[in-house]
Amino acid sequence: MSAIAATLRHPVAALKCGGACVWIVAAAATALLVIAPIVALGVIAAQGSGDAWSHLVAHVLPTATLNTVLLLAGVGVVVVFVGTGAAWLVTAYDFPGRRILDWALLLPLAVPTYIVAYAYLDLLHPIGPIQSAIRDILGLTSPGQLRLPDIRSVGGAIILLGFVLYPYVYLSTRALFLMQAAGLVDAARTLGASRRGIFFRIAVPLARPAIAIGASLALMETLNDVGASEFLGVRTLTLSIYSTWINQSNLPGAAQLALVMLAVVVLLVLIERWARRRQRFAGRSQRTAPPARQRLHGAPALAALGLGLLPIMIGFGAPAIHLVIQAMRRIEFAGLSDSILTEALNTVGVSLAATIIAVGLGLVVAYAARIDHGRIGGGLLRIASLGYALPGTVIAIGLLSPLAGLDNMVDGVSRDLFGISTGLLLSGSAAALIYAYVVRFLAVSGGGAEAGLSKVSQTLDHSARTLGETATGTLRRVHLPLIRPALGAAAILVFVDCMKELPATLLLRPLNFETLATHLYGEAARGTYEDGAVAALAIVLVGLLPVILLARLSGPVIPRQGRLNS
Amino acid sequence: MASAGQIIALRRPAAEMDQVLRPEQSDVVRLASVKPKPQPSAPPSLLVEDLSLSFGSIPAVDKVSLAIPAGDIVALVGHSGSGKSTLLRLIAGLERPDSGRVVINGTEVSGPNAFVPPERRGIGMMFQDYALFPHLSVLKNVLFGLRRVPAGEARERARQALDRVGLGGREDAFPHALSGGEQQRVALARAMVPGPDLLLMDEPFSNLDRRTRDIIRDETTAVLRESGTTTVVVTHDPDDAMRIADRIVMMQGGRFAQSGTAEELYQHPASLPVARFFCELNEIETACRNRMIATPFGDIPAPGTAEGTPVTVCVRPGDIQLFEPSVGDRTGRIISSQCLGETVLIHLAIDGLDRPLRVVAPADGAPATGRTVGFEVETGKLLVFPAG
Repeated sequence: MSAIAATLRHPVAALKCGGACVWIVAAAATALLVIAPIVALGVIAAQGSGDAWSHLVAHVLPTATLNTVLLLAGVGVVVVFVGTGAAWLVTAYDFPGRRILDWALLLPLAVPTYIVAYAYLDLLHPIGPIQSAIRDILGLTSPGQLRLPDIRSVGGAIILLGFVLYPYVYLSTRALFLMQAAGLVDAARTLGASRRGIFFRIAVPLARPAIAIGASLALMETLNDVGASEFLGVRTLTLSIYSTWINQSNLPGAAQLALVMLAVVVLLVLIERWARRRQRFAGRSQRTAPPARQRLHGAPALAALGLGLLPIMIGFGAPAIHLVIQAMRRIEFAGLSDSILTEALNTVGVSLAATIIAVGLGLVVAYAARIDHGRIGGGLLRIASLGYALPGTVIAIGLLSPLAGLDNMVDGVSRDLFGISTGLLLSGSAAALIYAYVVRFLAVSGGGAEAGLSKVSQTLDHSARTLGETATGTLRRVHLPLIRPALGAAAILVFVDCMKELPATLLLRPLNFETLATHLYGEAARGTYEDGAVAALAIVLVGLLPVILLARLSGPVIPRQGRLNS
Repeated sequence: MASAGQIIALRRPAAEMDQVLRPEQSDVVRLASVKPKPQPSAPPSLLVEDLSLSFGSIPAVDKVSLAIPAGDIVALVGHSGSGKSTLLRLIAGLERPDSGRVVINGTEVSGPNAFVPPERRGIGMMFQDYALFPHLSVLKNVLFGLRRVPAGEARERARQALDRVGLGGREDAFPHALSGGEQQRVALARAMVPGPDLLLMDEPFSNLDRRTRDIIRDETTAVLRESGTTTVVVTHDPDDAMRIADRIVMMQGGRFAQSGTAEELYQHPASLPVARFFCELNEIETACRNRMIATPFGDIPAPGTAEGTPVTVCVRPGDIQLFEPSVGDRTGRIISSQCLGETVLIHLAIDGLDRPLRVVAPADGAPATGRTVGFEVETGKLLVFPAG
């Protein structure tokens, strides 16, 4: 009897394969969604004519590559220097105002690269507030009498990008200093090392993996940037891809450039791996006692405070104050225009949709990796997370033609069957945009879900399963309640990233569909400054959300998730 | 293994011979219960046949077979990495075997014909860290597995289960507010309340301090006996195994080294690792000469053993008798003596041995350090194995 029963059950058992199959299949589908644009890039690039390519090689590629490499190298130096220095300042020393600096140093994260460039173009304009003030002080009357170095240069871009992107290095390095350096620093001091000696001999080598991770994130952002380089007149690869498609409608050319860009990304990842070699970013789970900070008094304390405030002022204070003043003037003068309200709604709408999908799919890939014990699932999670290394322009170029193909197919089928043209269902609607956001930011939600799940002991899964709950039911009844804070945090990060996203939005938005970011870009590109400040301010204000979140999570107080492992 | 059998047989009466694990028997080790069974012909609650699982090229569980009658408690013991936990996870369905079958109450749950996921196996499982759901109260933890039971009845059963383990009144507490012993009791109640056909326990007592551990172990055994639940307990602690199990299976390198009652494994270990696992031993390396094995305790006849075969002779610290004044030529000097409470641990230096023998003697009237004493061991208490 039981043999017959077993045979009858066999096909069912094969289909269900323990409940894990559904999740693996879903995770595989998600990974496919992420890979699709990369594969498409290769296909499109292959269709390009040799002529276009030789034109690109002769006239576009050398300058674009040189500028990109210069920009990456410069920004890399600035973020490592400022980020590590600031992290050491707030972890090794104590002085009045340190606690505020601790989180305030994260503020520049709220300012996207294109907004900092937009603000400084205004601020440093020959007849702008800063130069005017300097002339007043020196008693000069004409802008021609004083020539400051032009901000519209590679050097200017390096400084501006560096001072809004250093928080990536600050965040990871500070966490490492707090977690691991304490005991070692004390040990080094008892061995007679000076504070400066400790910084160079203990702290920096110890923090090398954290510095590498932070710097690589900052450089990914640099590669992604299209607005700042355009406003500042730096012809980078990203900008060249954008203009090759927008201005010359040369999709294969843009795809070829995008592949060059991918090569740069791969190189960047390899450099990061090399910089982290033989070390893991192994934060101990339990926080050790906070390091004994050296108390500063008098002039040194003041100098430390000033040093810490400098990057905040450059990366956040000055542009934010400028935007507030400009926005208030604009609103006093003309009120809030209807168009900016529509744009805000558009922005929130697409960002919210993308966030929901990204968090859902992120959970799928992270959970699949968990229940598969990291065999196939782990690989799928890595693939699904590739998007974060892909600049928005690259994803957009890769998506254009498969979506158009899909649209044509759907349209054709619909016409044949129903006689109705569906038109450009995907590429003509916000769907394409949402797709691109999801691909780009799936790493954030997937990583958040993975981090949350990793704090939940595997034995909880096994308990639930042996108590009669399925894999899916276990997720719902055990994991979701436990990882809700982690998922919420991931959702906020994804939402804000979507709101700030410019390059993919520029390329994929439907006709006459403006978000706050594209509006700002449009006005800056045209040289008109009407509602631009209001849009920029709105983006910066929303961008403060994750800063608050990060400040709370990385603060001296143990984050809330700590309670979960009782 | 054959030579081990030969050597063990040296010191055993013929009647004991069938206790020795023979290759043809080890296919399925039948574990008959000590206590009388209501239905002696009932199929085993758990049947494991030729079960294997490798991680990469390392076999974690290697062609293991086992049958457990309903209501029995079986302990899987062994050192870490011996495969005992993996075997438990295979039975639970948390791992898929490479080959072989697992049958629970006549239904194949792992094997060539089927793989039933853990949630449909009708098993209960307890974990070393208890795995209580931190976001649920004690009562809700216990209710977790009773979803298909009507709410009122489920609550009633959960409350009864909590009362049974002495946690009535703590229903609304959260796991983090409980002591280790209380958490263990909640875990037991939670695993038992759905009425599993088979209860699996993975190191259920190892996170408790010694005193709590003894109490909880006895309570747990009582609950299991009362409900007649077939149970497999994985433990690395021989005390746990001997105290709670009807039968003990010792694993080593993914295979069964020996199985039997606590007494059988303790008194008649089939191999040196088994003997070492259950008791700290004095080990003496020697060899067979002229069909005799010479030991400081006298010569043992070894008729079937080849000349020159290296052997390890073991003696338990408690089996060495000391007496004074010393008579005869078996004498040694006491070089240290440590009080263990009711007994003393004595280090005894004797001629011909590099290391002193460890002897456990009653504290009452134990000889003092520095004294020369006579010693003796019943030859039947010596354990002889191929050199390990």
